[in-house]
Amino acid sequence: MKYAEASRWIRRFLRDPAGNIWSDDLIRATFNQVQDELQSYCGLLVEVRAMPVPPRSDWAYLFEWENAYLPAGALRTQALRNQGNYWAYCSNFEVQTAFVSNSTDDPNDIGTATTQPWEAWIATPQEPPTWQLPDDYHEMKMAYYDERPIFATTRKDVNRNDPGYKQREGEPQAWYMRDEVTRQLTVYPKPSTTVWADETGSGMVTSVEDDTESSEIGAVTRIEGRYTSSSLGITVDVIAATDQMLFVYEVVPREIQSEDDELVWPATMMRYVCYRVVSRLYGMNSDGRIPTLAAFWEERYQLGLRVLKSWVANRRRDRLPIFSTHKKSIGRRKRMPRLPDKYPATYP
Amino acid sequence: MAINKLERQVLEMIGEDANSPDVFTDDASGIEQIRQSLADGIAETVGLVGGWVETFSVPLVVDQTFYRIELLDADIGWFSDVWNVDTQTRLNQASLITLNSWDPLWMRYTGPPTQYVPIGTNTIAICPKASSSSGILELHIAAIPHVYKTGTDRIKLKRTYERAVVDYAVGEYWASRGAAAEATAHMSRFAEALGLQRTDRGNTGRIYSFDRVKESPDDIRISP
Repeated sequence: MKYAEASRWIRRFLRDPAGNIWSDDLIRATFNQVQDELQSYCGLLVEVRAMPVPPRSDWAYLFEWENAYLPAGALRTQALRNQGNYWAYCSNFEVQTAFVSNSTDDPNDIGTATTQPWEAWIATPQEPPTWQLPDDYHEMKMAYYDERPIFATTRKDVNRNDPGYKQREGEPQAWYMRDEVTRQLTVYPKPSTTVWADETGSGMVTSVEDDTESSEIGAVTRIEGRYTSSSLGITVDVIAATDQMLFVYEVVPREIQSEDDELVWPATMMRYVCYRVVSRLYGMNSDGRIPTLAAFWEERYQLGLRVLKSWVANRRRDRLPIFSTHKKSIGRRKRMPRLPDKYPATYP
Repeated sequence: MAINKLERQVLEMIGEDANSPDVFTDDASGIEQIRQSLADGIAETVGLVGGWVETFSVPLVVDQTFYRIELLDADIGWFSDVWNVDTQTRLNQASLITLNSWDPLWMRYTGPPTQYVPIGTNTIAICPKASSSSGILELHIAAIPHVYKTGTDRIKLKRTYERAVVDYAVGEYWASRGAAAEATAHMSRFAEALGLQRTDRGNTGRIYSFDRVKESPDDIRISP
């Protein structure tokens, strides 16, 4: 569903089809604000995304012909500039050329510069590699590495328990972020093995089948389209999790910039955003200010929130309730590794 | 072009001649506002009470835990039932927290699915994942219909709520005319029919505020 449809609905109920009172920019800005508020309130939009763990090369070189001059027995090599369709970035401006699609994007954004595949995930020198989370990331609900949950921690805790955390390798146990704005996620310890799920080419990694990259999601690779069926009025995509980082997170709705932008809300919920937009606009100190209509649409929005609450409850309707006594702990008791009861052998 | 009985009721309630409408003429563009309002009312009602459940068969894909599902003519309300067709068993609904607590390696197991987790608005996870691309998952989805296209399309709504949806559309009509009082009256009827009416009716517009009683720092007074 496109924003144009919502915009048309809003203008109809503002009774300002020609934009004599409220400008498109104002309506769009209010829409963006309100959809953020609604998502913060109900947290309904949740995304599941898989991101591959990039391989690490022992040797990197610019052109394929250099391969012949590598030391004997060199393993895990990669040509950064190949004849294929992917890029190797050596300077920041190259990223701008590749990923910035229009002139409105911030030219001061330093973007990405990579010379090693690890760095495609926006590495900081002398720091463990990071994963750049998508633009729409808001709050992590669950994170998995190769189909095993990894838990949230802080860099401070990691550093306190393991001063050598930067060099530590193994199967990741936890993740942490440096800040919310850059959305760069690090796992601890860094993966010691990586697998390209489905690679093409020989001798070096050139591309991964079925993966797509775009400016919206940065260096993150989204895997989809492995299976699609349009029969029976339903479309199904699967999200591969094996050998991947998998994130389940609440999204922040995509900022609307033009009439053609797609809304992330299901059509049903988009109405609630519109109700509050109309309420806000009627309440503003403009020539179109009508407090009674502002109050009506606000009340309508509040009614919508109650509908959404019921909707959230309905989603759990199929869950089987389990009754137990108050002494029974909920969930599995924490299993700690321990020695057998009869070890070591002791004499009475 | 035919209009359905709900549209006819709305036209009559707003003073239009249903047989020869003046403003909301009997064509796709003329009736569009009324049709949109009715469709919104239907969607809201169905989203609240359920009532329209579609059944879809989804082929299982080997080693895949997460399935993103889009319906072509509706939004997913919730999963009312999920069945494994091969084993003729029902899948239990769980959450990611439950499964992680049960066994952190739950995502690595393969076999006939026994549990599912709805995630967000359109994603479902199953446990264990299928060991081959051969099984079928039967999803019973409480669906929320998109806008119907023509006057002869089926109205996916229980008859009990039809009058409420008409009130919804009439309320939006008055709101589009700038008449807040009439709009509120009709929306209240809609809310009452769906059991959503607030007990503090008539308090719209009141501003609540907190202030502290200086003599006793523990007392907080609410007004009005």
